[in-house]
Amino acid sequence: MSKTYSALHERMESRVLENGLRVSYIPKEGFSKTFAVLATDFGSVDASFTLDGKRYDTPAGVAHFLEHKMFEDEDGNALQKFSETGASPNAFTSQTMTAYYFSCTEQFERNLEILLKFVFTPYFTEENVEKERGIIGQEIGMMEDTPGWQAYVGLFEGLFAEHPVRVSIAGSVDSIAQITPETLYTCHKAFYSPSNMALVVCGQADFDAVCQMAERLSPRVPTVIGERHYGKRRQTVHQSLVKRSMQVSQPQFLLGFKDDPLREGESRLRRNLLGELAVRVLCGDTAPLYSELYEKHLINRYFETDYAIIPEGANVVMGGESRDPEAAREAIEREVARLAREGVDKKLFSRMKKAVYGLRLRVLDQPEELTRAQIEAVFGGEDYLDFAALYDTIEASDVQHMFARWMQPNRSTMSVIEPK
Amino acid sequence: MQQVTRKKLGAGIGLTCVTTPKFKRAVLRAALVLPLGGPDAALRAALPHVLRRGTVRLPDLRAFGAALDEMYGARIEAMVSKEGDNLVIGFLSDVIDEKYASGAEGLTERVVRLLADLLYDPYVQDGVFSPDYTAGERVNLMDRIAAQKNDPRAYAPKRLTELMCEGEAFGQSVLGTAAQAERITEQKLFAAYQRALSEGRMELFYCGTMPPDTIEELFLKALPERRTDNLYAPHTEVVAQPKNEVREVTEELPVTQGKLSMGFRTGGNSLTGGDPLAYWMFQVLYGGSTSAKLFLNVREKLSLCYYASAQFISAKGLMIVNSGIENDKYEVTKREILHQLQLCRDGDISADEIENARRTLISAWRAMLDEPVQLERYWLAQAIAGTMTQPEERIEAVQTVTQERVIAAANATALDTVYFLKGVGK
Repeated sequence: MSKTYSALHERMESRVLENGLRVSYIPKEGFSKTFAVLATDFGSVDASFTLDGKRYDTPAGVAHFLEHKMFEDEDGNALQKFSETGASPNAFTSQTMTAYYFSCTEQFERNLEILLKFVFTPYFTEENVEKERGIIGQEIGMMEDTPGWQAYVGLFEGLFAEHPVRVSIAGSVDSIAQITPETLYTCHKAFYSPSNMALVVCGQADFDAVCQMAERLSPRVPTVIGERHYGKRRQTVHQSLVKRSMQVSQPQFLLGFKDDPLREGESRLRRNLLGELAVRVLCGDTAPLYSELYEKHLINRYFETDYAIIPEGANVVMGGESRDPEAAREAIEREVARLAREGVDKKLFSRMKKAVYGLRLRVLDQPEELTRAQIEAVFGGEDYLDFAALYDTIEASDVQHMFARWMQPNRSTMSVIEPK
Repeated sequence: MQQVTRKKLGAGIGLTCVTTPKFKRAVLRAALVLPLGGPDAALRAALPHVLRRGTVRLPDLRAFGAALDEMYGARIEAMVSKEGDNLVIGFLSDVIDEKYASGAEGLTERVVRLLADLLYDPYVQDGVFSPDYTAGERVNLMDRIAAQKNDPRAYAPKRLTELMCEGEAFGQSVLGTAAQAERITEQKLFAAYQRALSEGRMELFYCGTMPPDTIEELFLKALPERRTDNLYAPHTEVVAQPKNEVREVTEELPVTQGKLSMGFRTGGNSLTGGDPLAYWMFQVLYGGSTSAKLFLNVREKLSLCYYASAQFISAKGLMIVNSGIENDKYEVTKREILHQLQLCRDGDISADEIENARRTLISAWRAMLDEPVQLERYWLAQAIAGTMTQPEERIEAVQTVTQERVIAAANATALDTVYFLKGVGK
């Protein structure tokens, strides 16, 4: 199927292969680089699942460990195969997905072949799993020393009581010690089925050739996808405050509000746009509250905001460095309450809406971000470029309703990193 | 080839325009190039942040924020950065291209105007900067200086550079010192501002769809006429060889993982001298990709770390190798990093390694043509070095780099300083 987005000056082609793999292509006229991502709807939160009637509770960090190990094949490491063409490969594991990608400026099809082959071919041995433990152990060590990451992990520990999103994506040195080749094979079988995956290409490519190659190099028949368990859901947070102390010069904090999960049939893309707009209205870097907090030294220019949707959950996050996180929290919560009560000023809403649209538009120039946004949209059954049409439907009252949800009792958690 | 135009707009004002229909956004920069370090260092680091607090027309953050929102979320950020031995302070902006939204006509002109206002028409009280804004940004700057150790991965190479380039301008922090920052007042800051305006070389940049002549007109209209006779001439001292024996410094920090940073002199290979293309090839095959010697051996074979990579700071003629390791793996990692360098020096480099490095570089430079923010950085370095080499010309020239030249680059490399940030957190 080919869709044209005339307001955005973009075009996209998409197709679902017989085995269920969803393929999309966004052409980029005049670009030198082509970017391809093959991702599975399998992230750190999908650690407990039932497959063929058996329940598995896998060690924390297994999705990320699998990501590291996928690059290795019987005939060598895919990372090195990519560099023969000058391509730069990489991968990431988030709470909700694992994505493998490369960018290249020549021999696109050869690189795509390498990508498809290694992601669909598991090859794990006792020896190569053991070796990776050392490397990932160092990666975990690095993350443990990163205050921003520790604040993030702490926030999710506070927001959720049972949901596996509480656990750091890469797990811990202790949890990864329990990972065996067998664990990895089971997870690959449960979640690397083409019907649980998507391929997105952005740049210069021949869409039919991409589909043909994907057809040839992915399993003919999809296997059954594991049924996931996220624990018992609660509307309220687990803990209101989580503290850690680290080597930092001043406190860092993240404040999160727990939002309702997506309703049956609700557009994930629209919710995301709405969340982004709401948090910008509340305390984005052009909002009145931001100026106030900045002037009082309760935040500085490293203050950031984000809205995220996970299976059976959603949350908004904001934070950075602060001399007094408690005072920042109080001011932000007061403003949420006011906005929930009074609604958003019309003029403010209209200018914020314009700004978020402009920011989204600029993502279209950035193949890495654009493909990631498209993958997320595909996993939600949508296409990212429909954002402009969905965005038009958002009104000030939608934002107000969102604030009202955040303001319900026991919906917020603050995670603080204090100086040692 | 991408269309790149360079123009002189007045005394010490250069404009670089990359004209391309590829992007839906435009990227602009208006910045001053000044010497790094010296008594004004902290004042200069604080300056763009104080200017960003308000102009005569948009006197505070609220007014400024509202204006940016109305401009489809245009961003204008303060920049304080290092390019060789030079300091660059000013503003970097990105904004949607006018043709992608209705009612967006004149957007580029408004951004140019705002950039000019930020530099020339700041909000003042009694002839100097606002005491409030100055005090606020003094505190922010002191916080930044104190926060440098928060991220050990970034701090280790920074500290290495300070130690290795002691006595060279490059060893100075762009932020200045805490003692300098503490003494910032609105009077001193305003005087430093006036000195910066009269001494600094102004570098303007635009990447987008509009023709260079139009951009030139917009800037000429917005900027006041400039008369100056004490202009700073950007320059960088390239130190070809270590001045002393190898220096090893270990410092401690209460964190888990140790960070190893090793600094090398490049034998004069730099953006402006020697054989930089061969040096890039060497740096990539030694430690610049996932098929580099450091990645394959230090990480994959010995599992010593998650990352071990080499960067070539071409503006200054330095190479730095960075790695994050267990604290007791310091000696073994250092030995392996030097062993891999020795292999390069001895010519233990396969034809495949040479070709992979060449393709990796070509691919990275081609990919840069798709990234306006990277182009801004690239053309800033060119403008400061006084060169006009197109990325495409580099791509062409790197085709002919031979194995001999790469081996020569490895042999020109000499270890200067080793810095180990030892984790004593657990």
